[in-house]
Amino acid sequence: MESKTYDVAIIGAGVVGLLVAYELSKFDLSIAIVEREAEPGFGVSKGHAGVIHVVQPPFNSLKSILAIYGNRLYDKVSRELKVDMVRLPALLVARSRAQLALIPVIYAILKLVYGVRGFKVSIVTGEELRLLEPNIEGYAAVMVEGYSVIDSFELIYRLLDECRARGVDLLFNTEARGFRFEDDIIVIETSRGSIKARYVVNSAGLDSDILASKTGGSERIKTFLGVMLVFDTLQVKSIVAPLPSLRPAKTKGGGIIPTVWGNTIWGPSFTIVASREDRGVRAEDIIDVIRRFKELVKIKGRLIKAYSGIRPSTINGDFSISYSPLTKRIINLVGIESPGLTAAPAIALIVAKMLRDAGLKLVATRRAPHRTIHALSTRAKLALNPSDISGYDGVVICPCMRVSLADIIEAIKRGASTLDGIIFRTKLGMGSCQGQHCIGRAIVILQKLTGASPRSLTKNTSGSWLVEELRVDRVEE
Amino acid sequence: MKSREIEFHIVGAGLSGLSLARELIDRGFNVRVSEMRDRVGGISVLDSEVVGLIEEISLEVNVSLQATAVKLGGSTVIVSSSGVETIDRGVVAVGFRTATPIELGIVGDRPAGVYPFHAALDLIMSGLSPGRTIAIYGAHRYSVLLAEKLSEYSRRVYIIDPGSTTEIIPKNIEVIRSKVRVLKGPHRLSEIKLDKGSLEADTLIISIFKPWNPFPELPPVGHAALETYNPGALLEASRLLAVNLSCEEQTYRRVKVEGEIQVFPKTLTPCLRELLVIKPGGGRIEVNGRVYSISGDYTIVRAPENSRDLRVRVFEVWSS
Ligand SMILES: Cc1cc2nc3c(=O)[nH]c(=O)nc-3n(C[C@H](O)[C@H](O)[C@H](O)COP(=O)(O)OP(=O)(O)OC[C@H]3O[C@@H](n4cnc5c(N)ncnc54)[C@H](O)[C@@H]3O)c2cc1C
Repeated sequence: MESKTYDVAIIGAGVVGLLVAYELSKFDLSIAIVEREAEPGFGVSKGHAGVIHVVQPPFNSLKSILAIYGNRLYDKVSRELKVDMVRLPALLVARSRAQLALIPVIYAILKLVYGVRGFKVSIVTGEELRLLEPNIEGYAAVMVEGYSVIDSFELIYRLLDECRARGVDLLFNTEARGFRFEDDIIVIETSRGSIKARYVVNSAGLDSDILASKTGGSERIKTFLGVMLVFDTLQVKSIVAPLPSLRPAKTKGGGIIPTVWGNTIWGPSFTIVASREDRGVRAEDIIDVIRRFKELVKIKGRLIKAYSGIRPSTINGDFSISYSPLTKRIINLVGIESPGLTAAPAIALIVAKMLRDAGLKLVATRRAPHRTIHALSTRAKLALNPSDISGYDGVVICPCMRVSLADIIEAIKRGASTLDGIIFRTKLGMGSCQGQHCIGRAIVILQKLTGASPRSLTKNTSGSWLVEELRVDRVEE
Repeated sequence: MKSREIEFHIVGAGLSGLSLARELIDRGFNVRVSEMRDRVGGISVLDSEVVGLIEEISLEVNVSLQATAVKLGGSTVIVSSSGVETIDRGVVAVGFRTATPIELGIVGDRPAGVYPFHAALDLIMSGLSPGRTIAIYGAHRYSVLLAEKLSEYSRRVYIIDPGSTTEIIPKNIEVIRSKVRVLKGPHRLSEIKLDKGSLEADTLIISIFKPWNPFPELPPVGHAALETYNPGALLEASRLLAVNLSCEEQTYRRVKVEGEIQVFPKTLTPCLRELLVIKPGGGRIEVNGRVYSISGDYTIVRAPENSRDLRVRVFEVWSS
């Protein structure tokens, strides 16, 4: 990390930073991503619900507009990156006769706002609802087409692979702490020395406000906790949510969401929390989510997990995408909370345009990216052609999700250095038995294949050590 | 090995799978045991009372290691480095499922250092310690064995007992009677909040078990079917299932169970005249009106020989 000056340094390897890098890598630029953690996607982007949204009130907000713009870009993004994505409708369900009266009102509003933008909005009768969603209890529903669910883990890793293939430098375990200016160059002070760049994009998620404030930014982040429950079977084919009331709601949002890998998510809940560290799942939130959905759906399968994410919201609740007050060479992306995943491809395009307006030359690159060949997972091989299975593909480590030794080897080859890095890439341990048969063995494999000392292995962040050697003499207090 | 057709595929080479294999071999069948791990013994590897038996049987039986049963389009197959094999007649001996934090009502952070029992055992068997100050949640034979093993390596070990176990726990292991409520620790576990008070520990090994058969189209045996911490009961279950499986006439009498007891198997072929009834701590039970007493944790009852379905229930004075 000495004298090289990058054209653009992007701080934060969440879905937003990675998509910005991916978009910019199509131009003739030298790019670095600076990420505090050992791997990408360990921030806000690991704790979301994976929905590509349509409806996002208030309708005139930046996030509402970017959600629609981003939603449309996802067909291209998922095709280019070969990420699993399924288009499906959302159903807003009336659960009582009294609510039936709301159906035409909500229908008219949504039709007005989203119909003109090409999203089909319709009314579903009780009978049709039973045919569409036999597990759902309701009188009628408003259907909005054009949602999707995406394998958000795959999205992160495909972006990582693709950025690498296009020559983006990925600087992990590197925390940006402040900026200095040397003529036209911005020097980013990091935990591992300084990095020079002509332009900087701050996509640091939860801590984006702190970084923005180093060059005069005044946005502040307020944190909201979202708790999600995971069931081990599919309960629905569409995204299903209770019909919103027209009053401003205290508990807002969330739905019953089918994942692309066969689970169902309930949630998220929505509660304000005091600090960024305060991300534990609370019993009240679980009860809240269960209360909200238990009458809407017949529970199928077993509740296997509760997890949470923190939304970094600005004070006014909207995304803040702006130049630093000190210089147009720094762009701050603050408050990219839900639906930030949906909006991310649109944010990337806007950032590219803002950089151009600030003087960065965007010339399409003539360098062809390295071809990245993605090994077919054992799960896919088993589904497509079981007779292809042999060797390490046949050594199954996680029977629920059908993850093999070959998959773990591939994950490590592609950069997994932590347990979560393996889990997020392979879905090891995400099935019914929640890691009982695989987590221990995966740690042993990670240790053997990387040759790391047992004490240096982590689950994700640097303090999250996993094991130590089992020796009598080594225990110190 | 291919010379004779495999007549039974047993999934899991723990005490139950292996003992069932031996029972079937003794009755003249050709049996294969598939084990997903690279060792036999399951959760009984630390159990000095049965490891000898396990080793002995595993020498006699055809065991494929690193051969894993998975669901594939509605049926169960065995996957190994030599390919994918379908199962004609299988038995599920995959052992207990460990309860997940959410089903035990445990909330809070999700730090490193929270392991299901089996995962912790896998680490230990590979020479790794799951942590330093270790709380084991669940008080029974297997958690005590794990606790003893870890304290041999001078780890500080606690057993948290959510019920009131009758298991005898060695003096050097501290027992806390409580339920686990909330986990704290932004990165690695640092604190376990209990009903009353809390415990500073960097590791929680969840050792509360449920019988679970992940392949319901195949009959279960052992901990896949029964919650018992008595190896003797497991051996009996394997013997009874072997009688059922080897019976020429596959017609069944059904067993109906009432009250806090477990009965195995749930169906009886005409060859099987016995039933395993489990009631930890003992007590009295009633089978089609006849009363039996259990002195240990389980007993074998002779099934009445008429062809009616069987009704087994806890004997209560006022019910007869
Ligand atoms: C509960 C919940 C549910 C959600 N559901 C949805 C949904 O269904 N659909 C949808 O569209 N959106 C959803 N969202 C929103 C979505 O998750 C976020 O908008 C998106 O993940 C934000 O990505 P990001 O890249 O901005 O942030 P992050 O993923 O947090 O990326 C920021 C990165 O910057 C790194 N970083 C921070 N500070 C520094 C520093 N100083 N130096 C170096 N690196 C640093 C962090 O480690 C992190 O990796 C949800 C959010 C929550 C909380």
